[in-house]
Amino acid sequence: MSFYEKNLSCLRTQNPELASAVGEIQPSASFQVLQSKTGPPILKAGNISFHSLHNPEQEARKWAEHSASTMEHHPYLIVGGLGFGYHIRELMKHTRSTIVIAEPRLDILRCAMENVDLQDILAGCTLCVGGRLQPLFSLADASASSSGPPPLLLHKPSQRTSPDYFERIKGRLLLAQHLQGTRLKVTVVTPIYGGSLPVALSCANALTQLGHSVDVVDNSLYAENFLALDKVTDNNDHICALQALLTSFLAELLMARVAHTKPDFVLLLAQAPITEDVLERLRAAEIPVVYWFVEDYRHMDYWKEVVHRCALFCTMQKGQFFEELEKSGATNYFYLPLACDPAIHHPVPLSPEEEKEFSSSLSHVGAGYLNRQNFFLGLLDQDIKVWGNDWNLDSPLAGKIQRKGARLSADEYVKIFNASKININLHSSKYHKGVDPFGDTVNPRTFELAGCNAFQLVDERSLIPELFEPGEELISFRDLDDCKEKIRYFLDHPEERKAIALKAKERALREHTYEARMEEMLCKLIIRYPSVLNRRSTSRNYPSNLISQAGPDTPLGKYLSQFQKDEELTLSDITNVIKSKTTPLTEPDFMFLLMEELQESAG
Amino acid sequence: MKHILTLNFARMGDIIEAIPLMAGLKKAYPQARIDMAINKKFQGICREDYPVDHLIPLDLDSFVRGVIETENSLVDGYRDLEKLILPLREVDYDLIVNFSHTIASGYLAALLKGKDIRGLSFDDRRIPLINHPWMQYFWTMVRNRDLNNINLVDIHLMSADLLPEEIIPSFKITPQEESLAQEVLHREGVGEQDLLIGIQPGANDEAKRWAASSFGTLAAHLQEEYGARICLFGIESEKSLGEEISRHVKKPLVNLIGRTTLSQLSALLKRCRLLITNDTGTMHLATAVGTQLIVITIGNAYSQESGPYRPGQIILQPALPCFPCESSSECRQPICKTHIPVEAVLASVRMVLKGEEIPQLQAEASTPFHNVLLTRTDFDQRNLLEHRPLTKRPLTEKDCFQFLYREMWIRSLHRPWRKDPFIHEEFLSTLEERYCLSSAVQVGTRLGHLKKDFNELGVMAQQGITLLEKILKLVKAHSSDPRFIEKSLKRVAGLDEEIEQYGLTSRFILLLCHMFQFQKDSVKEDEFESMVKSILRAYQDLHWRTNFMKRALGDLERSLSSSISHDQAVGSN
Repeated sequence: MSFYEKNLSCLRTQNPELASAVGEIQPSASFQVLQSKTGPPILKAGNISFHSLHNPEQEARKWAEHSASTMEHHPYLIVGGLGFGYHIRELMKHTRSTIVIAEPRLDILRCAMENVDLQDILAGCTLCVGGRLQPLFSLADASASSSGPPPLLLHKPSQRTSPDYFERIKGRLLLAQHLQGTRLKVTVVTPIYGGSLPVALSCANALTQLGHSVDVVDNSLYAENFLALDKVTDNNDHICALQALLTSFLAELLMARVAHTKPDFVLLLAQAPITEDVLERLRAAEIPVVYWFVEDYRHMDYWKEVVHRCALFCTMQKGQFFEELEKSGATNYFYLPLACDPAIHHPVPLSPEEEKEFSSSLSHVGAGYLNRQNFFLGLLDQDIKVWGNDWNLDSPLAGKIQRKGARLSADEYVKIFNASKININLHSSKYHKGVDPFGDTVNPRTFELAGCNAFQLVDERSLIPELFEPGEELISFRDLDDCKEKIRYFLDHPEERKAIALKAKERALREHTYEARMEEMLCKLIIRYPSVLNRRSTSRNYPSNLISQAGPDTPLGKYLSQFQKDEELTLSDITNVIKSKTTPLTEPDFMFLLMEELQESAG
Repeated sequence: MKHILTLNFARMGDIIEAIPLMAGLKKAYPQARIDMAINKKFQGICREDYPVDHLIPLDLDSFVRGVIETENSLVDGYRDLEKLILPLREVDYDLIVNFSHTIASGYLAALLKGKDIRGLSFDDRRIPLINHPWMQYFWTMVRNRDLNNINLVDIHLMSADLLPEEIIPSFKITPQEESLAQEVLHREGVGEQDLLIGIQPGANDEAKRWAASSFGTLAAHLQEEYGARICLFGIESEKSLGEEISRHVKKPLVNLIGRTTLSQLSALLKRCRLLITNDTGTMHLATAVGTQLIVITIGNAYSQESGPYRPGQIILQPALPCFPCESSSECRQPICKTHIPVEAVLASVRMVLKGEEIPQLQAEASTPFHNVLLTRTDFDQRNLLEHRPLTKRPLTEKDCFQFLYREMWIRSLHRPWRKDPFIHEEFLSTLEERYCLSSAVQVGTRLGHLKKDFNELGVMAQQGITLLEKILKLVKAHSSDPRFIEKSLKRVAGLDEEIEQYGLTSRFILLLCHMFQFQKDSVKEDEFESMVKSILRAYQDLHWRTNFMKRALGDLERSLSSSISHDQAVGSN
């Protein structure tokens, strides 16, 4: 029985899901397995050697001894990077803590399983690979309030291959340390409609997944009203004035909501209806605002009114935009690219009817921007289906446009991604005839396609290489000719398409989820504004503070201990519990009921 | 009795109206210390001669501001509330009378130590307990206002087991206060011999305000006809009313709106020959200093409930089917504001200024009182305040029910009076004296139909009595068959529901069912036998009440027919 078979059998008993994923992936072509001078095999990826070429076991012993001597005892230890496992085996000899291995790459696990016997490690440690980090984060959160988050011991070569991955883990542990189990109260404000609406909802889901209490101010409820304003008059000035009034109303609605829910911070997505006045009032109320500007700053300049009025300003561009921000005097910005939402963007099976409608050799999903209307004319000779709204149905492209340019749901997008052999992802532009040669932003589609395990050809964008490895995880094209050439090649190489798509999916789940983005944003916010947590810890009506103020051993303190809510307690929280009681009411019960009545009678 | 507490967190008028109760308690329990808890902002109304041993002013407004407006925590609020009510909780009271009638006062009562708590309180399951039949009547009355004919002062007195003794709320105005008032008037150019008429155009509720323009027109007439000096009273926020009134007069007004202290107001009111007012705290203050009143009662105010507790006061109320509004009503079509004509108020003033006994008037279309219920307050032979009509309007079945119910409740809730003979002829003659009996045949016929409802309700009450007596007999004999008792109690519960639903079918029996419900809901479930006895008592009371009403309606039905036959016979001659 080979190492791989033995290891796989062991992994199946420990973690069947992971075992199944390993079965699907092949080691990267860039991997080399070399024999060290003392014998044991070692892994080399590109120019990074994962273990000592001379004596990997001795190196591992030294690393483990050093690590064991510097760390404080904790029930768990996180080791960043598996490699071929020598350092972990040595560490197991020095500690009784449970070792959790965080390995960014599934193909490294596969390679290790093929080349060394890992059964003792697979049986004795917990393995979190790729994006499957939830068990690790859960235990970090769970232990944070009692013994602090577990220490992270980094295997340097592994760190060099996936620095972002380990940065995310570090950030998450830091967050766990700061939060110590505290749930933050967040208000997420959506735009009325448009591309950042699903982003806002995914952010809300991600924050909820991270254990925070999220209140969504869903302005899409007013989309019909907003769009109806277009039909009031042909006078554009009048329409703009009416839209401004509705925007102002919705901003006030947010203020009223915030006054009611008292969040720890507010997250506004690009184009969420807001006014400078409301931003100022939120600031005066000491409620930090995080603004995620998922826009191209060259096309939308309203950032100038927003950036100085919020606590954090997240961008999807760097470079020149950062220079502009710096010139404006802002210091509160940071780069936060878009992401995918694994709850939505994942492989899905299709019914025969769906297969028939959605499948094609090539597809494009997106609105009919100028550059796309022009670019796809060049693909008229291909088996291509174009999906989305705002396409010119009088153009020669009309025959390729599906459902007469109707809007599609997110579920339908996902089915199209899954049903297409090649997804053409051309970033939008109102000014170019095809590919924007200076484009930098990376659109949500790039991440969504990756999350869906879909193969994509994407136009070159300067920021893509730091998010996905071109050639390995996705394929870029410079222009129409380049695109056509790559279409021809990849239509003929389905296995390569499959392998690239799988790697993109692994990368997306590992690094580019909204959960990861929200973690990063929270870290930045807490580091920059520790008062977010201070507000919480000093919040007058936070249950633990109330109990402490009343005195834990006083009748009132004991009474309040029944309200183990992880957020601010309101009088109505208490009286609602009292009113639903089936046991006899006590003196504090009547006191709180009286307090509420007096308050209500005062109006 | 050593310690008695009354809870009175309502408004200024209610504190004045509590004087007969407080004086009555002092007289009945001379050895006891009598406390009264009030809202601190009305502390000024409790003058030195106010009949209370120990006033406990609670600064409710500051407390609420502390909870709502400041950064205080819930624990701070809790501790503040503890401090606030501490003076009330330190004493073991023998008797607590809660005549605030609010949920908050009920919760407060539940927190206090009282052997006997009258009025709203709560048991430890948060079920409202309304102890004492007169307090239960109060809550019944709130839901059936237009059939009530008993003043709140009398209800409160009897809820403390005190009988009305013509104790009128009154304050003594000191000579110093009188001379200060005179100074104020002097500065306004009012001489000692001038006829001074007060007008109170405001009220805490907009719905209770007669139109300011009508007050203005009235003031102009009074200046013209009597050369009267018109003095306007009110609070700062009512200044615009004064401005509106001033637009209608030709001569200057003495506009004191927002310019008087409580003490000055009392003395100024005493100086007035009469006060024309809406139903307000100022009205009660004028009652207390003995000033003649002409009260315009509209909206959700209702003089039969809360009118001035002094005989001889003139009340004008709109003759409208929707009057009085339900307590919680927010009327958007307040036609009552203009329903009482200026001429009716002016005519009332003329009668009062003549100083003669006001004769009974006809409410014909040609008179200013056609749309008005004009009454004068007086004490009846039991010393309860009543409203005597000054206009002879056609008798309606509602009038009959108001009369009969007053008589029935007084007897039912004060048991010794049950023995008093109900002399039908006397009752009929009162009706004849006060109402026009031109449509008595139709009224009699309708009463005959309605009598059947009471009969039906009486049958249900009797079924309950039979069941409960059987249960009680078994319990007393210690030979109870649990299954039989359980089955019987289920049937009683079914009857309760039937009675509740039956009450909804007629507004004239609804209040009997409400009263029955309050009585039953307030039964304590401490001990089975006493609980059964209390429920039996509720059924027996319901039975007695339906019987009384049934008999009285039967008599009235017959009498009205014969009386009208007689009228008609006279007419035909």
